[in-house]
Amino acid sequence: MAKQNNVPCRRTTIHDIPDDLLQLTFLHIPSPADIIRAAATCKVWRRVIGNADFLLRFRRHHGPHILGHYYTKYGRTDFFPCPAPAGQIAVDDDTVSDRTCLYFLTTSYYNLNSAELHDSRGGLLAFHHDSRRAPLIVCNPWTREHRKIYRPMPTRATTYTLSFLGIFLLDPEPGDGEIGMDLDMSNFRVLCVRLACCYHDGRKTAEASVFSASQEHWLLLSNTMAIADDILPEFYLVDQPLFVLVGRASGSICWCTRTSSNVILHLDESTGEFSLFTLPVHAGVNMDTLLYRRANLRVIGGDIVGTTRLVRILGGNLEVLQYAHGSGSCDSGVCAVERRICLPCLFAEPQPLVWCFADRADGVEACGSVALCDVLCDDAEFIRNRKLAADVKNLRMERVEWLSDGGWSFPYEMTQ
Amino acid sequence: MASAGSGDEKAAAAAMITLISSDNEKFEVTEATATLSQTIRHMIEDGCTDGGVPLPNVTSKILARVIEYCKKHATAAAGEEGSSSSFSDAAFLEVDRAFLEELEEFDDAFLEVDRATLFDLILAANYLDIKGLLNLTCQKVADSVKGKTPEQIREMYNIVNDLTPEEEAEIRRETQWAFE
Repeated sequence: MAKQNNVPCRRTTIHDIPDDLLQLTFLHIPSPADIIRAAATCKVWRRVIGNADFLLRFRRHHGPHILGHYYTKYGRTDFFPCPAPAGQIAVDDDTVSDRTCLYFLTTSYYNLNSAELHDSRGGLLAFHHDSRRAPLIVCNPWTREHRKIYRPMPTRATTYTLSFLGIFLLDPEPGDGEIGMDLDMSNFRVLCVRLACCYHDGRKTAEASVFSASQEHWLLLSNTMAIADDILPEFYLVDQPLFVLVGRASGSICWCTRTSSNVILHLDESTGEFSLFTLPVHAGVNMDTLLYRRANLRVIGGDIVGTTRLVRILGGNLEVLQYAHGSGSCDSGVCAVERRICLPCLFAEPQPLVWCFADRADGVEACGSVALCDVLCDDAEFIRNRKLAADVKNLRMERVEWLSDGGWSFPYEMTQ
Repeated sequence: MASAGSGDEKAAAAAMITLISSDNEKFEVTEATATLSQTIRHMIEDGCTDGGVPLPNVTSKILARVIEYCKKHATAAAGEEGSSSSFSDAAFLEVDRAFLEELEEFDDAFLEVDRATLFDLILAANYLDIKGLLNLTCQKVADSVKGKTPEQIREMYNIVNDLTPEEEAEIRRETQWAFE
């Protein structure tokens, strides 16, 4: 550097900028489309931008770029793009609709109609099939890569799979010395949770297995949980889920039972540890007739010390519940009401309407719907301190005649 | 955020430092202005600034611009009364709105330079370790790329396309959507 500055007639050009400063400059480029066009300029720029370390920093710097939401209801999945943030150049609509279209899967999977979108993470989607023999599908719609994964076999010959509780995409296993890698088709992991039943005595256990795409095999997580019969329905159909997923946030996954047992099954994603806990009983509400579902119970967040937060709608109130499952805390295993908000009741309504949670993809806004964060937002401090903002942003509450679970929406992140 | 010397802030503010450019021109600046550069701050802390600070990587023309930037931003930090003498982002946040707007206007005007000067400023900001100036100048370059095609970018910065047709085809194939 010293040399060139001592030659007064030579003007400094972009070629004098060393790689680390080019990298810093490219971090300031606002959109992924711009960064890709810059990479197509010359060899040096391509090398700097193509560097895995840079791409990771770029994504961290800008945060996840949520392109839109897949909204799935009655077996139909549609994509709803998010409006581009002000001042940013949007990827044009035709490209987005072309790249998010799931039609490419139909050529490889003939029975796609009964496959259900079950999770999205880092630009990948995971589909789950009603038929327990059908493989799971993980795909990247943007690059149109896809692969099928056969489900884990029962761990013991004496058990069979009673029902699948769900499949979830996980980030790649952190490698040696690496802070974190981007999720892609070669390194994703899938968590599969199922209820196994023993042929002989009918005893049931919840099991979690993880499939790693880089290692190509399933691994049973060490902890299983015995599930007592009294929290399961007495009669059930084969292939009918016995637990209903009520949400996943901050490393916690929760299911309610199909009975009015007030019991919730919890799985800690990082340890694979299951636990069962009972929701607080509310005086004045007959808990014996209360059935939970996604419409009245959701997981909205948690923290690393072992607290999971849920929200439930109960008897005209919205309650934020706090479940402590960290082994360190003294009240471990206890679920308590952290906050209760009285929901407004509008007298002008001709029919009695009930509040329920509803997933809404952008663009399918219903009237009479409010964002959960607006309801909780009486004091914004609450959301901020409890770090709930990310998890409640898209969850809405609606006034409906019938309590129904509605559709599911899955955020889709652009990672290319 | 070293708070060294927060007690004798007044004395520090009055102290003058001499900066010497690569073409041997001398610049007298206050310590408050000079310490916006982490490089110079460390030199001051190590007590090796007597007789001036030689900056062999920075020409007088560029050093004058850098000092102009530092003076403005040092006043911004000093305007925040009762705080420590460090120029942290937090200190900037507290300065009243009007002043921040003025600072933004200053930054915009400051960046109205030709490309060669802009690159010199990036190199100088990096060498002197002035975070604010480095971010400001890098942002300017990044903004110039926004919405441009690779061909337009090459033209703007006199870059020769040294990608082989195969490499170009590969980029296009993998990321076609960015070019549509």
